[in-house]
Amino acid sequence: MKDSGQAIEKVLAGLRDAEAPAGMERRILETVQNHVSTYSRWSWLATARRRITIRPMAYAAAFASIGALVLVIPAIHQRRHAPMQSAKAIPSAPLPSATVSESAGPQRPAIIARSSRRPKPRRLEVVDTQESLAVREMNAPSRPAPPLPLTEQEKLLVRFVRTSTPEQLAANDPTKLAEHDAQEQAELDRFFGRLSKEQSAKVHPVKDQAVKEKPTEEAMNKL
Amino acid sequence: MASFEGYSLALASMESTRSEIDLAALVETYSSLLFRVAHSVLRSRAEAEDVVQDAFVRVLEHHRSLPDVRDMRVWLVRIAWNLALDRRRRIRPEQLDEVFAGTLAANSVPADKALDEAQRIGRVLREMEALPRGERHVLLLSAIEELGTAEMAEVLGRSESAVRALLFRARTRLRERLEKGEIRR
Repeated sequence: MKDSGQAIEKVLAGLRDAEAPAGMERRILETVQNHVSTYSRWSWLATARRRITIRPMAYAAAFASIGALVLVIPAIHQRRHAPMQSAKAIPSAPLPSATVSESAGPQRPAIIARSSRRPKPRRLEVVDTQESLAVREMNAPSRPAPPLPLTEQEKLLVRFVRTSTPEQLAANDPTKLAEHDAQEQAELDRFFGRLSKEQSAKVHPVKDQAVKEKPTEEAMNKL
Repeated sequence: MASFEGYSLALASMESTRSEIDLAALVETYSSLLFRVAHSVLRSRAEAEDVVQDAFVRVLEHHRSLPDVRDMRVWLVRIAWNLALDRRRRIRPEQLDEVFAGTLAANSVPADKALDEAQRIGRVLREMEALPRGERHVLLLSAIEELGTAEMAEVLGRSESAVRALLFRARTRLRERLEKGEIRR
C-alpha cells in the first residue's frame, strides 16, 4: 500500500517538475513571428472573405459586372479595329503573282511575320513552305475577280458607240429605223414585183418545160 | 531569458488586431505552465513543446476574441489541454511512456535499481491510462499543482465538487489497481 502510494506520488511529481527545454520561448516566438508574417500576407484574403460573407449579393453583383466588362471591352475593341486593319492591308499586300513566284522557289523553310502590324524580328517564326504558302494565301487581301472578255454583240456596240457621230447615235431610234426598214422593204417589193412581171413575160415558154421536170424531182425525193 | 523586444515590435505592428495583447509577454508568462499541462498528457518534451507552439499560434488566430477572454490563464490551459489530447490520439503513447519512465527512474534511483523503478513507474502510467476518462483528466491536471479546483473545473467543463469527487475516486482506484497488481505478482 505504501509502495503504490509512493509510486503514484513519484509519477505525479515527475509530471509536475517537468521543465521546459532551453530556448523553448525563443522558438515559440520565432514560430509565431513566421505565422504573423504569413498571416499579414494573407490577411487581405481573410478580410475579403469576411466582407463577402456579410454582403454576398452585393459582391456577387460586383464580380459579375467586372466579368462582363472584361468580356465586352475586348469584343468592342476588336470590332472597331477590324475594318481599319483590312483597309490598310489591301494596298501594302503583295500581289498574287508574287506569291506564286515565291512559292515556286526551292523547298526550304520560309520566314514569315505573324502580324503585319508588328513586324518585330522576335515575332518571326520558321514554318514549312507549304504552310507558309497557305498562310500567305490566307492573309492575302481579297479583290474583285478579273473582268470577263466582251461578247461579239458587246464589241459591236462598243465599236458603234466609239465610231459613230452624235447625229448617227441620235438617229438610232427604233421607230425611225422601223420606218426606214419598212420603206426599204416596200421599195424592194416594188422592184422585185416589177422585175418578176417582166421576167414572166420573157420566160413564159420555158414554164411548161419546168412543169414537166417537176414530177421527176418529186420521184427522186421519194427514193 | 531571451530578449523579446523585436517580437513585441513586430507583433505591435499588427494594429489591425485592435488588441493590446503583448504576445511575447504571454509566452514568457504562460509557456512553462502550458508545457507542463501538455507534458502531463503526452509525457514527451518535444511533443509538449510543439503543443505549446500550436497553442500560441491559436492565440494569434483568435486575437480578435482576446479582449473578451475573462481568464487568460484558464483559456490558454484549455487550448493546450485540448491540443495535447488531440495529439495523443495521433501518436503511440506507450513508447513515450516507456521513455518517460526510464528518464524518471534514472533521475531518482541508482543505476542498478533503475530498471525495476522504471518498470514500476511504467505500470503506474499504464494504470493511469486505464482509469475512466474523467478521473484520468482530473488526476493529470491535479499533478501540475498550479491549477486550483476552480480552474480545473473550468478547463474540464465540470463543477468544482465533481472535480473533487473525481480526483478522490481516481487516486483510490489507481491505488487499488496497483495493489492488486502487486498481489498477483
